[in-house]
Amino acid sequence: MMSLGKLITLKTNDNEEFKLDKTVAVKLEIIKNIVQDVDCTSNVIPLPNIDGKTMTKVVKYWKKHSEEGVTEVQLKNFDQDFLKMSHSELHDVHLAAKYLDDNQLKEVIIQEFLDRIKGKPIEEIREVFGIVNDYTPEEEEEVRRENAWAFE
Amino acid sequence: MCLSCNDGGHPFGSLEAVQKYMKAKIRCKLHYGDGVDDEEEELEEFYDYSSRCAKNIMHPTSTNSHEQLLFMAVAFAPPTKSNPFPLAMSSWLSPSSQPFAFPQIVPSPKCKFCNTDCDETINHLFLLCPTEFQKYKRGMGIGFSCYSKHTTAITTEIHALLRGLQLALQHGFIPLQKISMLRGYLIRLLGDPPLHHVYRERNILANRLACMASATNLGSENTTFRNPPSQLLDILLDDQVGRMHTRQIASTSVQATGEWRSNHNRPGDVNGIKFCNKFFGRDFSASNRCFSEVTSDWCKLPVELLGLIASRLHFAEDWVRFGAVCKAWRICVIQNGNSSRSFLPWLMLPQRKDESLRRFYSPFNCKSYDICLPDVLDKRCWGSSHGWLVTLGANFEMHLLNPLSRGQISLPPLHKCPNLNLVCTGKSFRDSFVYKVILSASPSSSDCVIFAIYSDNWKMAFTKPGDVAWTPLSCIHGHVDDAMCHDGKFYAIDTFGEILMWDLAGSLLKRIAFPPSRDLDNLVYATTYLVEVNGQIYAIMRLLFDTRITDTPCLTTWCFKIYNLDICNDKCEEVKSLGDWSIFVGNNHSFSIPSSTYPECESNCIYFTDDFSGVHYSVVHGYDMGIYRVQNLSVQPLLQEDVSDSAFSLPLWIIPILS
Repeated sequence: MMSLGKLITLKTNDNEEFKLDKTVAVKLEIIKNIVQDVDCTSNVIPLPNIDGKTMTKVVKYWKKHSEEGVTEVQLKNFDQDFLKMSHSELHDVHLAAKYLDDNQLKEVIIQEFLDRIKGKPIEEIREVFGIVNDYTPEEEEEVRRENAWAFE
Repeated sequence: MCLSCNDGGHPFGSLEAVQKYMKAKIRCKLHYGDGVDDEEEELEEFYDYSSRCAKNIMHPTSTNSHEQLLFMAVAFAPPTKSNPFPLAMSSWLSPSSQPFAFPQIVPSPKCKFCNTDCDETINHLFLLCPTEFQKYKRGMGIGFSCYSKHTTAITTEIHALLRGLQLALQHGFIPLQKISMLRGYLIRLLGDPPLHHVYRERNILANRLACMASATNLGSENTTFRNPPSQLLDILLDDQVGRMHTRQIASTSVQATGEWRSNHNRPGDVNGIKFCNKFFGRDFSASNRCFSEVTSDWCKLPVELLGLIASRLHFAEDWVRFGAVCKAWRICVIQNGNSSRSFLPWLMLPQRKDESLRRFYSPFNCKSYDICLPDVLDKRCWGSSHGWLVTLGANFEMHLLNPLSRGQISLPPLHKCPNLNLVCTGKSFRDSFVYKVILSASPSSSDCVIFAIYSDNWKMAFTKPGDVAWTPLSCIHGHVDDAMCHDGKFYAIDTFGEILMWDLAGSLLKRIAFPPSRDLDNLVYATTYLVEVNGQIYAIMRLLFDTRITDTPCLTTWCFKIYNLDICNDKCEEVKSLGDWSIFVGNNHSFSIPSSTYPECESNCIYFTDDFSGVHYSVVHGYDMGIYRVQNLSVQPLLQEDVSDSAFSLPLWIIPILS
């Protein structure tokens, strides 16, 4: 088992270190497994797939969500602010959450992507996601005609 | 990181720990041939080829040391002006990665391709035709499955790969330029043609081809695709975009084991992306206008995440639009079961005047959609949970119709059913003689049964797609309200307090008492629906204020009672909640959906439409439609549409399905 220090250090692939309270960290299945598996003397857990920038966000999320006495409303507001990031950042956080096996965070990210798509006309989706339409006008016409009701 | 688990496993903090783990799991071997070249070359010196043939280094999934079934694939690209070096990759699939059962392949005595008594027999050959492939600016893929008598996986792979290379050379592909040591050995066997890079995603393509080959029992025939098969479209598209799969992470994880750290300090993903961009820029800039302009931002969103997002789109509208954004997203939609996906229910509104335009309303986002449906004009309709309507015209003709795909299936003539002495006209047959027609499942499903309740609810018949006639259901002694098919049995509920159960041939199995009292006063009318909720049968009793004898003749829903039926013990029990399910009843096959899957739909509700007006009396004040909240026993009226001119045309629930 790990030595008895209360803090666990997570080290990202660009050598940034994050010190986390052990009680917070072991909530995550993956960290718990590492803590149980590893019989090393150091408290540093390497996270080879995550960079410092992304990990900063993840840790910020964890900390808020494990705070004591935080209300539902506060968490909701926090999440709203937290999710104000670019698609690539969201994607990075999703990959990190996937790697860390944090289902709650994964879910939050996917929901955010969904909210950016739902009920929007395609022109807006393309604009929001920076996608250039690769249909020829004929192809697009065909696609739209198939289900014209969805484009009115 | 365990090198065998790769990205699927979890990381370890020390070299000792990972060694312990790998030994414990008998994972002291590496999958080779599925990494990028750089990675493989680094690991090359650690391969112990001499021991590969020893029994203990057998591929872990091989169960029989004498005869193994392995799948081998090779993929090539044709040379282009800007890139004179074609690409190649091989990989093999082991039985463990096969999600399906193995086809029984009988090895033929002679190899089909070299026509000699060589040691292995190639059974399937999948060819992607290079010229057709050109539009994807991609090369040719060959995948084949190989049945081998060789004693080890490695020899099987070598022989199979060799055969693949021979085939590629026979097809006029320019030889390759650079290869790692193992492949170098194979190349030397072919006379040392030059070799270039191995592109990673090609590996996945080859894998998929091999997968297809192994899943198809084609005997010993060649399969040549004139177009890339649909199973490959997503990979081709990923390739085209230059998108890396999530494996890009795996190579960095090798760092964690310590020993590799010193000589493996380039993160694989950075490398991969760079390579992609270079590759992309040189080769495809002209032909891929759209993709080269895409910011790196969205480019990185992998197919997997895109699929996750798409699978959570519950409005048919969002799904259709998602697929129309760009080709990559369309392929994602197709991959996620475009034709089988079901969405949140729609309310199909009644016919307005003589218009063939029908309006569908989604109560979950309060939007309406107009669809031109000349096929339902002047027809009575019933909805279903499978995207289909049952339509009945004034000429006795009955059809199944998918309003989105416009697919139509005609049903046998009900008016010629033997238990029916018809005296009415086509118009009254449509308007009131038939009470309800229930489609139990998608017509493409083998479970599909269509029930008709008619003749003042005293008679029933059923048919199945492909039948030429209706089969009467016997033993009905009461006024049937609703019917359903569950677990290979038919059920119907009547107003005299009985649930009848038949087998699939229509023989009565038993009667189950449904005791809930209908001891109601004159001003209350009751009807009951049968619905499957979470795998169980529920009977839903709908109680309505009956003011038909007064000045304002109508039926108004007042409350519902819910009973859970225990068919085994012939019991029914009233329940006070539907949990997170909601039920849809009315002029449709009664169905339920869980709000855990469809969070947009309120849980513990009964969504009901008017299935009395028009048939039982003419409607004056609008339809009796609404949402009943089981929790607080309240009714919220839904969409007070103008009443249709056509009494037979009533609002109904339908779950839209695109084809």
